[in-house]
Amino acid sequence: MNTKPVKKINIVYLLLVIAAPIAVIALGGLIGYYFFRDGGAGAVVCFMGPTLLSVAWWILGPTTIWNQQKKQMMKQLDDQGFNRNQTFYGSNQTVAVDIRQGKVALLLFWNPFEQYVMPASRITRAWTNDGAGGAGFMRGTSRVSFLFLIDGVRVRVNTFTSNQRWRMDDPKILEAISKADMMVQVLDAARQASGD
Amino acid sequence: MGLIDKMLARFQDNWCKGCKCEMEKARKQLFALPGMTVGNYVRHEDAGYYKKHLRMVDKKADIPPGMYACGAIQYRCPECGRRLTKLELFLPVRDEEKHEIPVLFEHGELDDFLWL
Repeated sequence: MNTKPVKKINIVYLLLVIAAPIAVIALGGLIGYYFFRDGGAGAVVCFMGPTLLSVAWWILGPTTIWNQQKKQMMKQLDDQGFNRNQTFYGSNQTVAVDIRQGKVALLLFWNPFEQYVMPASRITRAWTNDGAGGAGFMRGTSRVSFLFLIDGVRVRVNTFTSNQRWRMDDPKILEAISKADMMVQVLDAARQASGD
Repeated sequence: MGLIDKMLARFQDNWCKGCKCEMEKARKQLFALPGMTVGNYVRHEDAGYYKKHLRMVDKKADIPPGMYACGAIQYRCPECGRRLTKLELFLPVRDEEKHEIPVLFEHGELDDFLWL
């Protein structure tokens, strides 16, 4: 069990992901400037190498860490006897629920090294947001999610996102609402089992 | 058989292919399908699967969110007595339904289970 309050963002990790490659690019530039003023292969390596590596890191690094941490968490949960009745893999959050034991496991994209396994009673509220907007034939949504308050921190897990607006009766939206409603129901059931 | 009859027989499930007439809705019953949840729908055409997993419910509200529902309808031809069972599989979402392609049983495979 994790008794720490939920922290959605690990600032050190966030800075490392964003700023560390910038520092590497700057360092490469400095080395290239001071040691390879006449150009040549060394200058190309110093200027281009860190830049390419940084771009590759920004594209692949956080996602790779996130995927590895997700796998590791699931393995650890299984080893601990956490019965995953429902697991939802969101783009930035993974939520697993053990209804019988009244436990919730949570992993957050920007805090991937902290796995929260806690009693569901710490959740004070869970609800669905269908993101509906507009009127008449323009009524639709571009995001469906379920949210919950845990230790006063609001966690939003998207079940559907798009850069377009979709009709509320579109099969994709119906499926997303159904997933969100199901997760809310599962979280509520775990809260009850946890003695809320 | 005229062209329209042929098209109806081809595309409308409740159309008796032999008598070229619309079949009557004889019975219907709503079921929950606990083995099938949102995002995990797999089409089954084996009657055994439905016999094992269908659970009778009175109304749609009895089906928890995220669980598929199945409306079983039995059609009967008023002329030749031919029977047909149609399973309408859908995901109930609040006031809406997300429908999948229906499954038909034309040889009474589910009769002993559905209409006892």
